[in-house]
Parts: sequence; C-alpha cells; structure tokens
Amino acid sequence: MGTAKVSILVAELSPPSKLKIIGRAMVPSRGIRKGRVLNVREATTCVHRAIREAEKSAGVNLKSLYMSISGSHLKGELQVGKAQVSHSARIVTDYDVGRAVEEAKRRDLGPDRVFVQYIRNPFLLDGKKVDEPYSLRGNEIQACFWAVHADARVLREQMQIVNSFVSRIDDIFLSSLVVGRVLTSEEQRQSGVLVLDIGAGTTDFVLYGDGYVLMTGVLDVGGDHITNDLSVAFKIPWESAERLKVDYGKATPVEGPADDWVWLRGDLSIGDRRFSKRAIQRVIHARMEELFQLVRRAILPVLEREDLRCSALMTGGVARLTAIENLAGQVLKMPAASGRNPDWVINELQVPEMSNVLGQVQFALQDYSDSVSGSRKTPGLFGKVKGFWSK
Amino acid sequence: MTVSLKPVSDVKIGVIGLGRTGRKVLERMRIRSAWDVDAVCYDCDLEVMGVSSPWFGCECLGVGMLHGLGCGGQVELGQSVAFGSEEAVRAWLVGKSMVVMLLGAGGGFSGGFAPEVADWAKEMGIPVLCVASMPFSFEGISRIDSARRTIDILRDSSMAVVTVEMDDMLLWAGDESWAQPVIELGLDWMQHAAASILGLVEEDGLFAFDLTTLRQVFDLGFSKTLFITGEGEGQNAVDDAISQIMGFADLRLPDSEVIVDRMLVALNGGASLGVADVNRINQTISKRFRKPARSFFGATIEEGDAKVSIGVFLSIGLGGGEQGQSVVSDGGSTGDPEGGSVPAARTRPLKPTGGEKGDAQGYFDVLIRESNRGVFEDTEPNLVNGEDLDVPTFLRRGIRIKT
Repeated sequence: MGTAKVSILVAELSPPSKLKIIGRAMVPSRGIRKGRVLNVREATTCVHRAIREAEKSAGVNLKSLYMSISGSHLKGELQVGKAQVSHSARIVTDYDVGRAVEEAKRRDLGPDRVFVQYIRNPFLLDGKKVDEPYSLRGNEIQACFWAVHADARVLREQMQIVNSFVSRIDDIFLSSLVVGRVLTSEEQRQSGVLVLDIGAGTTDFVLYGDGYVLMTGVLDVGGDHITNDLSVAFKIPWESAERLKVDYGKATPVEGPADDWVWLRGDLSIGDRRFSKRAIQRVIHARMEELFQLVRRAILPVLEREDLRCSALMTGGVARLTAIENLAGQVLKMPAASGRNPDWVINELQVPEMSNVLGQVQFALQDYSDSVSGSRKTPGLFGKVKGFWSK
Repeated sequence: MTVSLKPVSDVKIGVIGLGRTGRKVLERMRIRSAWDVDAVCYDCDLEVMGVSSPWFGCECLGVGMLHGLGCGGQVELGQSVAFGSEEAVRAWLVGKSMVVMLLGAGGGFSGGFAPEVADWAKEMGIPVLCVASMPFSFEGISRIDSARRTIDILRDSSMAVVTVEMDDMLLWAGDESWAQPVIELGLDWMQHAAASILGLVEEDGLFAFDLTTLRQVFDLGFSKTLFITGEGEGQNAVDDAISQIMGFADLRLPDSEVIVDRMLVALNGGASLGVADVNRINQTISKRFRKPARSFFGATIEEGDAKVSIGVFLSIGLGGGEQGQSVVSDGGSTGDPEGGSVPAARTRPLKPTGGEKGDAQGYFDVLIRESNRGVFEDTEPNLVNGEDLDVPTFLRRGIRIKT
C-alpha cells in the first residue's frame, strides 16, 4: 500500500516449494501519503479495488495475504543481549544463547509502539563475530538483533483496511527487506550492498554486510517531494509538475545550455508555460542530493563500524530518473546502479515498481517452506504483534 | 464621495493601431477628450488605410517598396517596411510616457512591424503594452505559427502582451455564430482592454492608479496576459458583468489549470456605482482566480453612464528572458516586388530583461514558511535534523531557481 499505488501479486504455491504467479493488480493509491493512511475511506476504496482486480485476474478468492509496511514511523535499532556461558567447560549451549536472546528482546517500548521485526545479526562470542555459537568455547555470548518497531496506531489502521476485505493477514514485512531480498544475490549481501527503494512517498533502505541485515531505515521523502518542489518552484499545478518531472527530470547537477527551454503543453494556451531545463534540473538535483546525503549520514556509523565497502542498488519509481546512478554514486561514495528484478519473472514485472511485491512473494515462499518443514524461526504475525489488538 | 475627472497632465499615452485589425480597434475606441492620448494607425495597404479618423492619423508606409499593396502574410516584408520607416516612427514616439499597440497577430505587416516598434520604444525607455488578437485555428497552421512567433518576440520587448484569442471568442459566442459577429466581438474585447488601461492611467478615478502602478502589474518579465471582460447595464449591472466574467472564466480557465501571478481588475461605471459594489466585484473575482500573488484594482467613473464594465487582466510569468537566447530564427530572404532584395528576417536575440529588473523578477524570494510545503501542507512536519523535509530543498538551501 504505497503513496502512488496499491499493488498485489497473487501466487500459487505447490509442494514442495514451487511458486507460480497467477494474477496481479496495480491501482492508483488514494488517501495514503508517506506510508500513513490520511483518509481511511479513500484508502479503503482503492485497496478494495486492488483486491477485486487481483481476484479477477487470478480467478480465485483471496482469503489471506502478506503485506509490506513503510513510513518513518518505523524505527530500527541494534539490540544486544549478553549472557555468561554457564557450562563448566565454557561450551556455549542453547540455554546460554536463549538467555542472551531473551535479554536482547526484553526492551519494553511502551503502549504506543510495537515490534514488527527482529533481524538477527551475527553473535559475538567474547567480542568476536560468529554465525552459530553452539558448541564453541567462550566466556560471554552476545545476541545482536536489528529490531524494527512501528507506531501501533498507524500499523493498526493499515491492517484494519486490509482486514476488512480478507479474513487474514499472514504476515507483515518491512518494505526495505522484501525489496532487498529480491534485488540482491547472496554474494552481494556477503560483500556488502545498500538497497534503496525510492517510491512516491518514502525511501526505504537496507544495508547488508557479511550476509546479514545490518540496518534498515525509512525516510519520508520520495518522488512526490520532487513533484511538490517543482510545483512550488514554478507555481504550477501538481499534474503539470509531475509531467515536468517525468518528461524532463534529471538527477545530475545542472548542465546544458542556459537557453534550453521546454514548454509545458506546447500549445501556447493560457496555462501553458515554458521552463528552463536547467531550472528543472536544479530543483530535482537539490532534492535528490539531499536524499542521498541523508541516507549516507544514516548508514555511515554502520559502514565505519563494520569497515564495509559496499555498492548501492536502487529501485522504485524514482529510480527511473535519468542519471540517478551518477548522483547516487557521488554522494553515497560507492558504486551505484539500478536494481533489476529476477530473471525468472515475466517482462511486465521487470519494472522497479514491482520489486516490492516480488520480494513479498519470495518471503511468503520462504515462510511457507519453513512452516511445512517446521523450521520456522520467526514468530509470524501473531507473534510479532502479540497483544496488539487489545491495545 | 468625491470623484475627480481631472486628467493626469504629465502622462501622454501613444496608441498605435497596426494593419486592418489595429485600425478597426482604433475606430471602436471611446477616447475621451480629457485624455492626453495621441493615436496613429500604420499599414502598408492603401485600401485598408482609407482616410484618417478625427482622432487618429493614418499613415501608409513602404509605398515605394510595396506600391501600397499589403504584405501578403510575409513577415519579412513587414519588417522591411519597419526598417524603412524607423525615423518617422521614432519621431512619433518621442515624448510618449507609454505606448499601447493594437494588432492582429498572424498578419505579415503587423508581424514584422510590431516587434521593431516595440524594440525602438524599449530603447527609448517607453513601456509598450500590446493588445493582439490571435487568429482562429481554422485559419491554418502557418498563420498560427506566425502569430505565435510574433507574440513570443513581443513578449520579450514589451511590458505585456494581452492576447485576445479568436477561438475563445468563437467559444464564447457559441459554435452557431456567424464569423462576422465573432470577429466584432474580438475587436470589442481588444478595444475594451486598451480603453481600460487608458482610462485607469488617464483618469483620476476612485482608486489612485498611475503608470508606475501599471508597470508593477505587468512587471513579470516574459509573461502571458489574458483579458476577460464583462458588461452590464441597469439595476443588475454589477451582477451581469460579474456573471459574464465568471462564465468566460469557467469556459476558458478550468479551476485546476491556472495559477495566476498578477491580476488587474479595471472597473468602469456610472456615478451610482457604490463602494460596496466595488468591494463585491473585487472579492468575487479575486476568489475565482485563487487570490493571485499580487492583485491590483482600479476604478473609473463616467458621469451619466449607467453601464458597468469590468476588465480583468490575468498575467502568468513564463520565465526566461535570458541574455543571448534566440526566440525566432526565420532564415532566408524573400523577393522584392521591385526586383531588389529584401533583408532576410533576422534572428532576434532575446534581450536581457534588464540587469536589475531581471535579477529581481527572475528569482523567487527565498522564504521558508509553512505555506511552502505545497501538497504536504496538511501533513505533520517531516522533521529530520531540525529541518522539515516537506519544504522544498531549494528553498531550505537558499538555491535560486530561475523561473
């Protein structure tokens, strides 16, 4: 449920773990801005429409679905729990790990916030990173989680909208995580990669290193801000500003001749106006440069702590902006490129706007496989938001 | 209430009618004897010129070159006539405080002649207000293109170009109308636009309105100005005039399409026109056009006139006016009826809008206010590191954007 659109993919799962996409829907979003529901009635209407279209496309009735969430109400932080190794021979056991994990997750957020995701990071055994500490020798075990919590009211509103049309939400995912999963390979996550999903209302990012999610973040800045900046700068209606952005938008610093003009409509009617391409670029460049600077500032402590050299991948509607890779590379100080959806999806889904739902399908498949094999480690939606509905 | 009809003695306005359209508009104009107005009509077509009117002179130019025939739609010929008449026209311009130029864009003579006159006036420091009709779209793409080029050039060298589009007149009169009444309507609107401006500057009316104020109205640099007029008579004169304005606005300017930078409401009525009426007109019109950034209001009183007429000028800045920019490039030369060569239409460099004026008008004031949040106005502040990210970045960083 984004600011610009509500997207649904319907996938058919068959044992052992095969997946086939059988339907999809993408409808313009209303009543949602910057990851928040501003107008419940409008948001409900477009979500309902998207579900109906998806059902029609797939020829099935949707009984449950997965949902991704975004918005700056999501906050992430590294939570660490410590435990002394209790075994006489200093061998780490389940009991020690359990105590460390429990302590890491002990933090109480208060009634207004709810944890939505605990993302495990490497354990530290006597300060040294280890993936699996069991049976290793040491004195102190530390469990580390990148924990993400949400504003309970905002989350409840979104879930209620969906719940009014389908009986069950199987799970909720962080938008940045699902996009990160679909755009990156295991090798990239090992070597270090930053994934940016720049949508209409928000920019979600996730930083991977050593195969782990080191941090996630959301900025309430997206393509709508570019449109708004143009609208304010040139005193033109939103639709006209959007047209300028799409037709002439460029992220790189100002270049080209000073007399390079473009007309809004080109028919010289009242309301038609001409604009300097350089002025358009200047407005967009200022916004995009600031966005990348904010991301850089957010990830810098982790980059320095982990001594990480990584690259950046971008997706979302704004990733279509001309020369955005150049600007991202300059500001983020790392190689940057546009992300590509997996080759196994059809051409119509090979667009940045579909990365999110494709990632959710992958997560859903994982969730299904884990539940069938009984190896599910994450708590699922109920575990995540236990006590949530009673608040 | 004291109403003074004393003319403003030191403002001499020149009115130039160009070609057939210019002459017809001049013939319609109600120029009052108290006004200090000097009018002339220029053309190269003897048949059109006819005889001089009691209040304006007629001069047929370029007779040696064109033998009193027209330009046949060729702008280059109109420009050549201008080059040959520069001395005479400049002499006529001397002493004028302002010039109102009336023309039908799309014609060869006016298309070539008007930009030159505007340039000379500009060099002499005389502000020029052009009132031009745009051809019907059914007159063909070449005529429309020619008209657009002329308007574009005039926008650069004039204080303002008020366009009256004949397609709008057709729309306003209704598809069933005959061509002649629609053309008459267009001419009426043009004369109304010009007369409104003359009245405001020349009359000492209800509200003080001088040439300096007028320059503020149109001081937008490269801009587009639309004129709408409404007229009423009798008991419901004000309501009728307002409803005509609103009706045309609804027809031509859908609410979501236009953001107006400057608005001038020029009101003319009889002595019975009260201040309450004036306020009502002002408020209604301002509301309809979304309270433009700057609004101006002027009213003149004609004793014994039971009519109320309202003229609304809506200006929208188009940006531009940068030095060295080429607007029109009509290459090639054209044959001279006398066998000589006519200078090729020159590439007209866009003149700078004038250092101080350009700098002041070309940029936004850098103001960081809540109202700069645009569509995010109703959302909570998007605060990061003490900055509201919903406010455009260029404003927060003080980046100047040429508009």
